[in-house]
Amino acid sequence: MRVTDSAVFDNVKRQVMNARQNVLTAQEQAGTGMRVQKPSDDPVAAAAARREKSRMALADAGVSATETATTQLEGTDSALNDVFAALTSARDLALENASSTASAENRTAAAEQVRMIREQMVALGNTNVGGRYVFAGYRDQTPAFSQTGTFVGDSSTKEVQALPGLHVKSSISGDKVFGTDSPDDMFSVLDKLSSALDANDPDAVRGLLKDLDTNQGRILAARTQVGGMIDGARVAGAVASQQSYNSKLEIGRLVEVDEITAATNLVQAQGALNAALAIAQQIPTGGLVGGK
Amino acid sequence: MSIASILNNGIKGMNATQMATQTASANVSNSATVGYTRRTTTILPNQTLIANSGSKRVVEPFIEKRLLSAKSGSGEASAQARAVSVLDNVFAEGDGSIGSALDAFQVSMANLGARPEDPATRQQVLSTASNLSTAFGNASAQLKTAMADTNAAVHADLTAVNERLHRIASLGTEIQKAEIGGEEASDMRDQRDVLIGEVAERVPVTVLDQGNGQISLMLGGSHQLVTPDGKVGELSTMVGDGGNIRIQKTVAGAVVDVTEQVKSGSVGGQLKARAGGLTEAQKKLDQLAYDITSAYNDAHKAGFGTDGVNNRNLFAEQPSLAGAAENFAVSIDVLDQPGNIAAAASATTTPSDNRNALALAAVATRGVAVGGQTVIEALSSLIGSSGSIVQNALQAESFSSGALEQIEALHQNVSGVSSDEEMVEMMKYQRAYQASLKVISMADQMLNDLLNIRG
Repeated sequence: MRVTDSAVFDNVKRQVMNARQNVLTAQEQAGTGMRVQKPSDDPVAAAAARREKSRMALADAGVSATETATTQLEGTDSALNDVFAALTSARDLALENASSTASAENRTAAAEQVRMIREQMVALGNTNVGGRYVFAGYRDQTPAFSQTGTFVGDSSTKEVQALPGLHVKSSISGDKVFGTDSPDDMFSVLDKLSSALDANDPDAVRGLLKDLDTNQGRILAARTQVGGMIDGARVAGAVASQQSYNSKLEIGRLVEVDEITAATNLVQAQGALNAALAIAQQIPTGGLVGGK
Repeated sequence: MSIASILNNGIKGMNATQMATQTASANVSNSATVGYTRRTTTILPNQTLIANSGSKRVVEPFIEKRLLSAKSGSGEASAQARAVSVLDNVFAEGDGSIGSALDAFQVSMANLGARPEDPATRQQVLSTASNLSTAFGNASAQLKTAMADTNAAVHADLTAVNERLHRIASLGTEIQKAEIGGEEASDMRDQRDVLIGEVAERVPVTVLDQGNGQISLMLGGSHQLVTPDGKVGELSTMVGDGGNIRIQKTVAGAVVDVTEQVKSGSVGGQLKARAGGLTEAQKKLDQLAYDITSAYNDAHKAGFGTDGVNNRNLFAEQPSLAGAAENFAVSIDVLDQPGNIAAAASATTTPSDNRNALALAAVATRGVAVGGQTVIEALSSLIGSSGSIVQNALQAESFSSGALEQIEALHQNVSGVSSDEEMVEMMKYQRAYQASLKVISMADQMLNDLLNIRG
């Protein structure tokens, strides 16, 4: 075969250009840490990374949503704790004054205390966490109860999204907690108690103990429910957080290049370029024409 | 036989070897000249034909034919790779990309579900929706520009082709004249081949040798671009269906559509990129924008704003599928009115009712796009398919340039100059020249000796 001058030079030129291109690619990867910078670098990985990024973003939003929900629920739980304590004090007062040994003065003082407890209850019913009246359902920008103890909130149970398709409950309605949807609701029982104490009527006071127990039962049930919601929100938040972490790892696996590989590739590419350049310098310039 | 004829032989030998050395020296000095075809001088018995035939170009017609088609193939692949590479920019991830804008928008919907009463969260929905509209608009504009660029590139290529066709035609006439007059026209033939090669890089052509230095230059085998008698069929563009460019040939006022013949060359590559990858991406982008608009609008209309009003759009209604990406915008119903974002499922429970916000957030995981895909899946497929189009185009470019290099190497093997070979030739002819000189000097001696016999 005839080997012509331009064939020799074209061949070397191609090798040097290819080697330079490979060095450039390796430098980009090592410099940016990214293996896939544009879809054509690896279409399958780029497409998969797009889906993972969306998953990660929505999971992060879910983590934040469940954190907010947890804060709200913890505030609710703490309010319920106070409600239960106050109700227990009212029951203690009722129990003390249900026996014939208590004096009329005792009962009058107790009536005053029960009225204060009732006011405290309305305030607890209007607990506000982070700008939201936690017992007011969807109408959480306004108090759940009027000063007279009438429920003016919304009786829905709110939900938030932890992950697409995974919702967790984030509120309990004041209606259910304080029993305002039934005749033996806490506020009217407390009203009846203070009236019976004022009237110095131990039988009536004793008769209200059952209703006070019913209300205590409601609060306990509500606390159990809220406790479950807190657990639910925490678990869902952990799931979302895990999803976010997994997606992040997956994105890294899909589009990033680890430093060792990048550095090795760069060294290899530079070695190949040096070899190609050395070959270029070795082209016999003389031959039969003479010269060096 | 006479001593004079010995002298004559010597002179013919000197002439012939001088000619051959001249050819070899021309080869050496042109070893790097573009389009130069090496010449050979064949010395025939008695050195009789040398003066008439001169030197000959060394070409293998079969390789020349393959070289032209490889040039068209390479021109097509690199034009196509250049044209579709815009898809990489349109769909690359990063700030302002459709992907990140869509993520931000869907996250803002999820946040709306968590804090529907918060005006800042509502404002975030509007801002991300507006950013999404910008991202769609930019992507669509980039694709549009790329398509306009292919049209401009086709136009420029055809102008270059036409200019070369005229030069090829006039060279043909000159070659014919020169060769009939017994002159050497190798340089003009080289020049013509370079021009034909440049035409082949742009449109696929074949050469029919008509003898006497005349050729027909054919487009796609059936349409003459240059006739043997030097007439030129110019190529021009016209706008066809869907804004796609068509190619036509004008001969003596008659116009023929030759688009189907332009399957390769850079013009063919541009046409394919435009009608293929770019149009496809634009269509899919429009479809995605259209699907996002209708899915989010449907969900949004069901809910209520803080003013208790429902049946509002989130995005501007799309009059048609075509142009949906360009027309993608936040609806006038909610523009600058964060309160009008329909987070609530009831008119009486605003602003904290998040039920419709949850429904809006759930659109992200519903199969509302083509083929029952979610919006993100559809975008992801679009990124994957666009990436493949670019990747395939780059691979085709590298493959076809490899193929061209291989054929160019074959062409070089036959028609290129090897300095070593030419140096050996020159040594050979130098020896022959010296021998011829010796013949003359011996004949001279013989004549001298003869003359001295009587003396």
